[in-house]
Amino acid sequence: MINYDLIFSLGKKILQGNDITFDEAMALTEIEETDIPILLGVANKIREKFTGSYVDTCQILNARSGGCSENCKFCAQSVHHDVNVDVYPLMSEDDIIKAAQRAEADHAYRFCVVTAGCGMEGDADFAKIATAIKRIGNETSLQRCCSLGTLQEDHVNTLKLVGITRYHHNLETSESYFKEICTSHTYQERVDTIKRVKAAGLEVCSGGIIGMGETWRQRIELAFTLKELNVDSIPINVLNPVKGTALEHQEKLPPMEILQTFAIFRLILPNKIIRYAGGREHNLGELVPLGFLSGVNGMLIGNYLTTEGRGASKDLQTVANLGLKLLEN
Amino acid sequence: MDYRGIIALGEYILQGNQINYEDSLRLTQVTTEDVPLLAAFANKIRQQFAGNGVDMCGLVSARSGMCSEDCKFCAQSVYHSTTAPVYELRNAEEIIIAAQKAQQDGAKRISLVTSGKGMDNDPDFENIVEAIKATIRKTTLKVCANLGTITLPQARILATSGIKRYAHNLETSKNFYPSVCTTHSYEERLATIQAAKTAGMELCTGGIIGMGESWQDRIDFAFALRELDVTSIPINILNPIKGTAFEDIAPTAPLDIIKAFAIFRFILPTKIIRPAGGRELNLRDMQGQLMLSGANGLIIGNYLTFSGRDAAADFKMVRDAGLIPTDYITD
Repeated sequence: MINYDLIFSLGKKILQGNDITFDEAMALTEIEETDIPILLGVANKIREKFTGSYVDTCQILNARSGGCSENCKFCAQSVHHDVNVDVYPLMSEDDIIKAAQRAEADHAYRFCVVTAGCGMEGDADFAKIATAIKRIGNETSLQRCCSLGTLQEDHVNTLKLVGITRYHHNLETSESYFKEICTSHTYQERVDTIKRVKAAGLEVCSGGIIGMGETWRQRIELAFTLKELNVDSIPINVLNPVKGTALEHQEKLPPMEILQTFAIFRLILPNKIIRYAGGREHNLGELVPLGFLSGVNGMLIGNYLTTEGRGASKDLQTVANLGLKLLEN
Repeated sequence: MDYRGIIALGEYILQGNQINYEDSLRLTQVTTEDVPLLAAFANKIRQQFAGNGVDMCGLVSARSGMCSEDCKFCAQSVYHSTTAPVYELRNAEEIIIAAQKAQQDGAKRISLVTSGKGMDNDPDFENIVEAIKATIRKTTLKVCANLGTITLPQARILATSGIKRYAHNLETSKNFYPSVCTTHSYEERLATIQAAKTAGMELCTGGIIGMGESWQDRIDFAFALRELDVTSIPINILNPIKGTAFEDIAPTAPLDIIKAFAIFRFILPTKIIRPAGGRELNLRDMQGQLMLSGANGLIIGNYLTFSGRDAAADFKMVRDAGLIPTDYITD
């Protein structure tokens, strides 16, 4: 069987409404480089069929930055790293509202309030964050998300009450690679938070980072874990090695391999939001727009937590150039 | 045509067959959703028949403006009132400096271009030939010439002066040509191409898309190029310059441009297909996709009457697409 026959036969299987197996997904990691664009083209068809031509845009706000107790090796905000990053306590409610209004002006569909730190247990800021989120609902028409680390059940209930519809919590990578990336908390803790949020009837946005030295198999494991958890939105960052972090010298992934990864995620998760996140500019350069022809149907727009994006207007232009549409409130 | 048709035709070409006219026309029916797949097969065809090298060529404008012809897209026509620069033939020294600049930008090839209908009875011809010889002597560039219509004796002089490739566009299909230019005929262009061939030069012959031509015109145009067996095909995408007859033509959608390049690759599997002027304006940030849709050449640096982008950005884009900027393809 030639490689691209495999791509088409798997593509057809998915277009007919079936899932692909782990081994089939692994086979897609071994196609020849010259067949990668074919895989991207098939992922584009699957995206079109299962999610249509709408792109889900989200702007994130780093509402409390730095000083994190955890040791995630990629992270500029960890106290274990000596990084030149802004450190500040929780922003004022007014400043959070202003940021939400800016996001709305940037045509973001969603707004996600993000805080540094392991999680909300015993965190005095939680009530303030909940209040701010409620107010965003009164003063903008944005979909409201947040990313506050690990949550307990009472947190989840509070967030639901103040109008959060989707909670963000990454798995970061596969279970088998996680301990290479973080040792200060466990993969299971992350999975537990996701399950708690799902059980409460909220949607989950959960993805991770590629290009941290993981194998192809580990990337596929991550995709299948996300599938099993039935998460709704999958942000995929491509490592932007920040100076001072443990991964600062990590080698870049080749751009075509990055696009191949996005495409395979689309084949494994046909009807989910596969979302461009940080590092795409740094790693893909001018190939960033190709992602939208390779299965991507969501993106973070504007700046990331500690690194700059390419600017919302460029992304919105790309979407328009391709005849895709923005989800609007 | 659905994606199975794309696969069938793609495989047919990969097996070494030539696509026919009717099938090429059917490819123009591919839906937007399937354009990436069409492009992916064009990319495979490019790789199999033309390799992974991308031929980088810089333009050197040696004489600008005041052209007697009425090509409707052109900023240098006397029929148009534009802000394009006007200057007489630059001297050999200036031409060499411009060529060296292109070389510094990374070009392995330059095209020396003069405005005007052609070289018949043109007193500049001798000076141009001398400038060409000097440029070849003083740089390591491959030097192509783009001087408009030439006679067979002139073609022979150019060939013996070291010009291996002559650039002369057809611009569009024969059918659409009268809508683009009325002061000289398509046949005159074919005659120059024939003269260059007879003199033993390769041809760099392409044109412009997005001037209001139909898909059928584009296919006709590609088949005319196939019949002429030209080596390199520069394809511009109309940059509607203020003051030209085409100033108000709307830009072509990026995915239509990508589709056109991909179909050209299906029709012309072994040739250099070279995105040229107007790619920045029309493709905006989709140029990277073009490099994975059958293209294997680029015009870098500035164009004749408007600026291109930084050549370094093109080199990075080519490498990010997994291709190799070089001119090995035809060496």
